Amino acid sequence: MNIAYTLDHVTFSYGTRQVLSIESLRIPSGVVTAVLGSNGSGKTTLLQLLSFVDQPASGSISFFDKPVTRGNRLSFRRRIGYLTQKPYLFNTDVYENVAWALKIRGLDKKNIRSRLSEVLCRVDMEGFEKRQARSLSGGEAQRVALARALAVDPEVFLFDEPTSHLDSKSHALMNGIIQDLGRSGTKTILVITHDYSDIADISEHFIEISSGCIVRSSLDT
Amino acid sequence: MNFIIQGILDGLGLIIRFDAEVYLIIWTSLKVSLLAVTSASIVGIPLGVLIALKNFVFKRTLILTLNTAMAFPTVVLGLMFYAFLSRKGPLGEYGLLFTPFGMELGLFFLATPIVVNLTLSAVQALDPRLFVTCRTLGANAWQEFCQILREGRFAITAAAALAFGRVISEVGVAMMLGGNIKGFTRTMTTAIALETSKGEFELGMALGIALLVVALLVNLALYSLQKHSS
Repeated sequence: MNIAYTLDHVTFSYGTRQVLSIESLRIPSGVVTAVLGSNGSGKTTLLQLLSFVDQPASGSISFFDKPVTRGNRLSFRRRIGYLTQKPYLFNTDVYENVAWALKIRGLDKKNIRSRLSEVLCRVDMEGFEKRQARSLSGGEAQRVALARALAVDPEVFLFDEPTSHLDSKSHALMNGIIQDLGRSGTKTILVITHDYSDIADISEHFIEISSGCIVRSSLDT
Repeated sequence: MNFIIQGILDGLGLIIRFDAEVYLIIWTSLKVSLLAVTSASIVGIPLGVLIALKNFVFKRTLILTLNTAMAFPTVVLGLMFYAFLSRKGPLGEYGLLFTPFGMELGLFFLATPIVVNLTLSAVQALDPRLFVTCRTLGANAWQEFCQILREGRFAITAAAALAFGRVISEVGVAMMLGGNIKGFTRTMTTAIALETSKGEFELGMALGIALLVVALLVNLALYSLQKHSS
């Protein structure tokens, strides 16, 4: 089994307050792993470390067996799709929001357009290209953010409670896509969820975090 | 009262008749102010973004200094630059005193703290999720910087507009570093001061009206930006 992430003696602090401490964790690739725990337990901090937005205060993280360094952090970030509970959409239209991640990767207009219509169709947002992102409902905004993550076709998806605060239609659609991605067997997926039943049938593993530490897990720790 | 009304009418007459002297003074004012604010924006906007995003020792002290610099009396700034640019000063050999470039230099230092400070505030007011989103979408530092500018474009443009308003309406730097030389460094504000003291009230009034029109246009631009952003 290939390993996507290897964490070794990783800690993270806000100021002097340590919020995460993981002695050892190996997250396999190509499967869905659920991240469970109560509010404030450190789940989001873990995902931020795994997205390489934040850096650990101590310890090391390897990504597909390569240690994460200052030099390779950006290229690793580009292999990850990260969807938060309340995504930020740029103050422009839906097209520009989804296209931006492709533009900064140097894709040409033709490829961007075809990729965009494909992902917008997948999240049931066809015809919304010219709509201002700020005028969308919460569910629509979440779907645009998902389209943005799907557009770059990352190897790893990090979902931070993607279905909370969503209407039933968006909730079902989001779950459907996560399940499709999970079943494909080619994507490494970590999902923070309060409703384990949403992903129970596709998640192979789980990690339970409490007070910044892993208290239960089906993975090698 | 008749004296004031007559002065306004005569001033308007000079503007309507496209008086060469009036328009040369307006052009000089606009030119030096635009150049000063453009250079201040080129330097000040990236600096403002950088200060807003980075945490470093003495950050608060720097912000406090910038706040103070925003309220710096223009005559004192003019005096300081006069000391540097005058023949006996360290930059005296370059002959910059009483030249448009000398004025632009002083106005640049007047505008830069305004641009830096207001850009800093604009970036700090942005949703912090923007920075995380840029990074998680794979942006490098330059792409993130460009996106920050794009998201804060209305407030950052307003910063430059406010700096322009301050620069074009000041008199201390323009007088001390420009010397109010006719056809060369005479600006609207220095000309108003001079012409009024000479009793040429209508020319002073014409330039005053022109200055008010510029201020009105800047405010209109700001208002439309605010309306657009909200």
